[in-house]
Amino acid sequence: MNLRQQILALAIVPLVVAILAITALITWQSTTLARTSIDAFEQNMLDAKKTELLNLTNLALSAIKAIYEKAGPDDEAAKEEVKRILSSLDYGDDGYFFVYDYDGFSVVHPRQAFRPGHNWLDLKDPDGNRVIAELIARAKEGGGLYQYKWEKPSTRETVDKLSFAAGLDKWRWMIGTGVYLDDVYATTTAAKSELRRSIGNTFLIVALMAVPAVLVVFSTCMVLNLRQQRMADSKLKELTQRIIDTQEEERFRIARELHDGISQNLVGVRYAIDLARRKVPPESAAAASAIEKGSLALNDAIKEVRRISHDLRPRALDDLGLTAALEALIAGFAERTGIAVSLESVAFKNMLLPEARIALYRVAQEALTNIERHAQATQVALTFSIRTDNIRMEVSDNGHGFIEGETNAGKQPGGLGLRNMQERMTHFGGRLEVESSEKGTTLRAILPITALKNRRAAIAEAA
Amino acid sequence: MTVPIKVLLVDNHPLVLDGLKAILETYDHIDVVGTAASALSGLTVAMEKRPQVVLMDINMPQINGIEALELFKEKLPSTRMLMLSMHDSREYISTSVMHGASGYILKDVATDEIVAAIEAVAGGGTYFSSGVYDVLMERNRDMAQALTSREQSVLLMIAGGKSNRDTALTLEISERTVETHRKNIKRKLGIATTAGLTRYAIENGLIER
Repeated sequence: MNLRQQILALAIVPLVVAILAITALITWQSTTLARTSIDAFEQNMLDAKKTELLNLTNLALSAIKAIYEKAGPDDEAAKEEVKRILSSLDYGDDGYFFVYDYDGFSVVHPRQAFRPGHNWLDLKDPDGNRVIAELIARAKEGGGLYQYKWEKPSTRETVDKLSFAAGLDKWRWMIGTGVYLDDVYATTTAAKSELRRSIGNTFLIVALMAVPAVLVVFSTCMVLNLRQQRMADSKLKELTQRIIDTQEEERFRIARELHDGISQNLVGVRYAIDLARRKVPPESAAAASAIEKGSLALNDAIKEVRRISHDLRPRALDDLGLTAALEALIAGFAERTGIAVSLESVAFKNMLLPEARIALYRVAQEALTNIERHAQATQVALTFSIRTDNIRMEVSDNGHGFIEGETNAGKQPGGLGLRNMQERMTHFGGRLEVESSEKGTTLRAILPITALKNRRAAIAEAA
Repeated sequence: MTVPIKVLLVDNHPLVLDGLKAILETYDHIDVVGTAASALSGLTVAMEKRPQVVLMDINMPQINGIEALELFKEKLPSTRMLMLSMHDSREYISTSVMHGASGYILKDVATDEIVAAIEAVAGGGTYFSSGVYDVLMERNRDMAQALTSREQSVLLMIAGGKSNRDTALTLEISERTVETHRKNIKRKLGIATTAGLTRYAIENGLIER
C-alpha cells in the first residue's frame, strides 16, 4: 500500500466506521424504544380486556344472582332460567357467555349449538391445551383468566382468546366469557412491521447520506492527490530543467575558461619558448633540443586542453551556429563509425535562442550516440529547418529500430536519453516524436517559433 | 634585401599578442606594423597602416574574427586575411574561407609554419594548416549555399522592405557592395526576384509576416 492509498484509507475508513457505528446506535435505540412502547401498548390493551372481562362477568353474575341464590343445587327450573338469561346475554358478534359443568359437559353455548349436551373435557386447542379442563380449574379456584385458541364467530378463524372463568359451585358450573385478541396482535404486528420498515428507512437514509459523503471524501482525496502529484511533477520537471541549465552553463563556463584562459596562456608560453630557442646560439645544440622537447610537451598540453574544452561544449555552436556545429558533429560521427550522414540545414544562422540551440544540439548528439550504440544503421539523415510556425530537426536512420519502452526502461546505457531529450524539448514548449520500426528510426524534435530570437532584434543586431 | 611583409596582429589575449610579436620580429622579412585587441580597433589600425596580411584570432569579444572578415574585405579588399585560431574543426576553416579568409592556421603550430603561412598569403596564395586543405575542398560543396553574416543581414533588410540605398547607409558600405551581396544571395538560394527573397525570409521564419 503506497502513501496515497494510506491517506485515502485514513480518511475513508474512520468515516465509514463512524457512519456504521452511528447507524447501529440509532437503530438500536429506536428499536428498543419502539419495542418497549409496543409491549406497553400490548400490555395496556390486555389489561383493558381483562378489566372488561371482569366487568362483563360481574354483570352476568349479577343478572343471575337473584335466581341462583334462591335456588337449590338441583333446581332444574332455576337452572333453565339461568341458561336462558346467559344465552341471551351477548355483546356483539363475538361477545357471549358459555357454561360448562365441572365434569366438562357443555351447558350453554350461544354461538356453537352443537356443543351443549356433550362432554368437552378433553378438548384441545391447536397448541395442545386442554381448554375446557383448564377453564374449569380456574373456576374451581374462585375465578381466573386463561388464554387459548378458539374459533372467532365473526370470522370463523381460530385466534387467540382470553377468557375469564368463574364458578357457580352450588351447581358445579363454570361460567365464562372471553374476548378475542387477534385485533390486539394485529395492531402490534402492524406496529412491529412498521418498526422494521422504519429501520429499513433509517438504513436507506444513512446510506443516501453516507455514500455521497464517502464519494466526496474520496474524490477530494483524489483531486488533492492529483494536484499534489502534478505539482510534484512540475516541480520535478523544473528541477530537471534547472539541473540541465546549470550543467550547460557550468560546462560553457569551464570550456570558455579553458579555451580563452589557460589555452591562450599556454600558447603565449609556447611563443616565448620558441623565441628562446631562436635566441640560443647555434653551438648550444643540447639547449636547443631541451627547449624543443619542452615545446612539444607544451603542445600536447594545449591539444589536451582543447579536446576537453570541445567535449564540454562545442565552441562552434556559439561561434558559427547550429548548422556548423551539427556539421562538425556528423563529421566526427562519420569518421568514428563509418556511417554515412547527410545534413540538410538552413542557409542562415544566429536565429535560435542560445538555450534552444544547445538543446537541439544535445538532442542530435544523443540521437547519434544512440544510433552508434544500438541501431546498426548504415545511413543517417539529419535535417534542420525553420518554418513560419515551428522549428524542426529530424534524425532518421536505417537501422533495426527499437522496441517501444526498451530505451525508456533504462536497460540500455542510453535509457535516460530519450527522456532527457523530451524534457529539453518540453522546456521550450516543444515536443519529441519517435517513430521506430525494423526499417529504421526517425526522431523528430519540434520547437515552437518562440524559440527564435526576437526577430526585430535580430535584424537590428545584424545591422 | 626584399621589402618586409607588413603584418597586423589582432588578438584579445595580451600574452599571445606579445609572444607572437616578439617572435615574428626575429624574422627580418616580416614587419609587425601594429597590434590590436579587438576586431574593430584592428580595422582602424589597418585603415591607417595598410598591412598586407592581417593575422586574426577568432574568439574575441563583440565581433568575432570570422564576422570581422567581411568588414575588412569591404574596407580593404586587397588585404590578405590569415586566421590564427585554437579551433581545429573544419567548420571554422570552411566558414572562414566563405567569409573571405586566405588562410587558416592553428595557434599551436611551429613558429616556422606561421611564418610560412604569412609568406604564402602575402604572395597571393592560400595557406591552411597541414591536412585540412583536402577536407576543405570536399566540404565546399555543402557550404556553397550557406549565407555569410553580411549576406544574412542584407537579406533581412531587403526582406524587411529596405532599399539598396538604405541598406548601404545602415551597414555603412557602398551601394555597389550591397548589390554584390544581393546577387550572391540570389545565386546561393536560387531565387531570382526580390519578392522571392521576401517570401523565402517569411517562410523560413527569418522575419514575421
